[in-house]
Amino acid sequence: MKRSKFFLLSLAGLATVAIPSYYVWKNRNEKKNPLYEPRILSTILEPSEIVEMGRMYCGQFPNTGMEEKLQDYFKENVDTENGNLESILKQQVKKDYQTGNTIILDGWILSETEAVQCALFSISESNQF
Amino acid sequence: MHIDARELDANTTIEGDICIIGAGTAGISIALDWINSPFKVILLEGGGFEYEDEIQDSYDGETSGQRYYPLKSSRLHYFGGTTGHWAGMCSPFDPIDFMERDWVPKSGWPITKKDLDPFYRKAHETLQLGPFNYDFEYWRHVLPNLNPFPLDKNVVWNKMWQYSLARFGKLYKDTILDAQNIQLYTYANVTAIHANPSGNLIREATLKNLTGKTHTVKAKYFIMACGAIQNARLLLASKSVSQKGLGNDNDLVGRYFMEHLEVPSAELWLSKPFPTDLYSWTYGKTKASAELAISERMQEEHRILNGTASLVPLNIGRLQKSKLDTWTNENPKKAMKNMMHDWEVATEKARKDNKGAISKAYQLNTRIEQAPNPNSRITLGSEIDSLGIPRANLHWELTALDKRSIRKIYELIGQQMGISNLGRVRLLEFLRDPNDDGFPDTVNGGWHHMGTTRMANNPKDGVVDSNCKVHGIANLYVAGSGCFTTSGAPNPTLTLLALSLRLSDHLKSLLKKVIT
Repeated sequence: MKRSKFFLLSLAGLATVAIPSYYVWKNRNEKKNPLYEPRILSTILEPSEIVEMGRMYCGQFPNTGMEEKLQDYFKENVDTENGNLESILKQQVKKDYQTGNTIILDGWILSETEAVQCALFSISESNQF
Repeated sequence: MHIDARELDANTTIEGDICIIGAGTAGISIALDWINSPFKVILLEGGGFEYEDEIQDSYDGETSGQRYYPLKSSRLHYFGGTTGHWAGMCSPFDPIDFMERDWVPKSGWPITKKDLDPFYRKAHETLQLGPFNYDFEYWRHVLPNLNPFPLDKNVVWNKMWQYSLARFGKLYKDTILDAQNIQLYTYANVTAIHANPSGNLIREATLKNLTGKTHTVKAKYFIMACGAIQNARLLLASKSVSQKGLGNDNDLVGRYFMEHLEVPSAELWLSKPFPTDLYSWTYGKTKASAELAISERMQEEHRILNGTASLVPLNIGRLQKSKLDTWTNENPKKAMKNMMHDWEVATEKARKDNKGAISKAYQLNTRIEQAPNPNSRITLGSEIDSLGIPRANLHWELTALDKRSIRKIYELIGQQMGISNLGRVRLLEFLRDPNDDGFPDTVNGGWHHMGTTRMANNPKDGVVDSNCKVHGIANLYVAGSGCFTTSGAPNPTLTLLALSLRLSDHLKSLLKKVIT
């Protein structure tokens, strides 16, 4: 095999692996949007458990346009424009606990913000498949 | 001096200055307090120096209402009483426990914590505890690695405990036997207490044992120290003056039975391991540790009972059965063995199963006072024991306030964990529905019997007065946790001992007056 042919074939092989990998990585990266990731819960629970809690939260409301509604929650309650979003969410979660803005999902005592994050995580996971 | 009542001639009359009925924690502590005094003290014990099943049998009785342990195995009936196998957990009641709280029916002792503090200090000596100091900051400097969770102490604070290894039967036997002015009678069961015709003075008590012999005790003062269930039983069974029993003109004897609810209630999941020895305890090794307690301000704001949460590694706690499911034997020795075996199996299995991540998780176990409830009570059954005394029956009844308080405690701890970002709390199934006031039948008690001869200034509210004297009877006293008006969160032994020593002090002052 000529060196140039070998080079082209190798490149094609690499592309076959790299291009889908890029999209998987891109998707994963999108999920790491802090709005879609309850930080503390993700250190405690398996993703499937967070998905289940998100479903429980969504189950309390009519089903249409859920993702938009949940994003609206942040627009209405959290100033996501000014500053680091992760830090803003952390403060909002703390504020929720301080003010008693909590909800019980599957026994977990969660801040409302975390519950919405669970729901968004749940929706994004179901959109994957 | 020791006398086996089985060896006495039948119908012997024993006389002394004070007669202490029962040689458990309260009875022995009071007797010790009178050594080398000029007064003759008679200390009566229904059993001997070791466990005997036929003696223990007199504690048998029926239970109804909330599921409970077999009554026969819930206390020990021999010299030293239940210190023969207790865990030794000691912590004083909080000031709020003595106060009248408008959200807790029938709360409010006629004494304050300050009245008990000198006797708490003295009780520490009897129990061979460390200094009477339960301040977290003190212990933090004394012991290593007592690293606290960073929580707002105005909401959740660290309530300290100390641990006694004292088994009174072994520890104080020789001291009592060597005391010149103490006469210990074993196999001396009081079957009835007799008052004068007007019912305001005790004349004598009848003693019996399984040999069939009967004796009589006469004394200036009588102190009942048989435990909260047996004290109530004996008062109810002493009907020489009234069919209602002694001290029971207001139908209060036996009512307001309280226990400590000890129940796994929630899980605490930390985002990362938190290195500390503050919240763990090993029998025989730990000198002091803490439980998470709810501040007085929060109790008042949320109108809840006083309670604490202890931490057990979740991988162990999840595998442990309910104590009610392992402490099922009528024989206390066997019941204890079964329970310990279950704990050992759970610990071993958890050790094998541990995959690392779960070391960040704990089971939160409630320890909480029970709201005073007149329907939770001791009554006399129709069956009699081998000495002819009607058996004690227990109807244990909990209330909606008990349930709501437990739930709120974990909501508060959950909020604090959220604010600190330390981790998250998950309520166990039975606490998740705020409209459910019921309790599952796996809710344990702590084998702590309290409130059956409760203390109150007004005879219509309690059986004994602030000195533990039975209302309306000049020379009859009750020692022990039966006198508790409310039950606090901590295990009762330290407080009942302090209260007994206070009663002892009061009697000394009375007898000194008689002499002078």
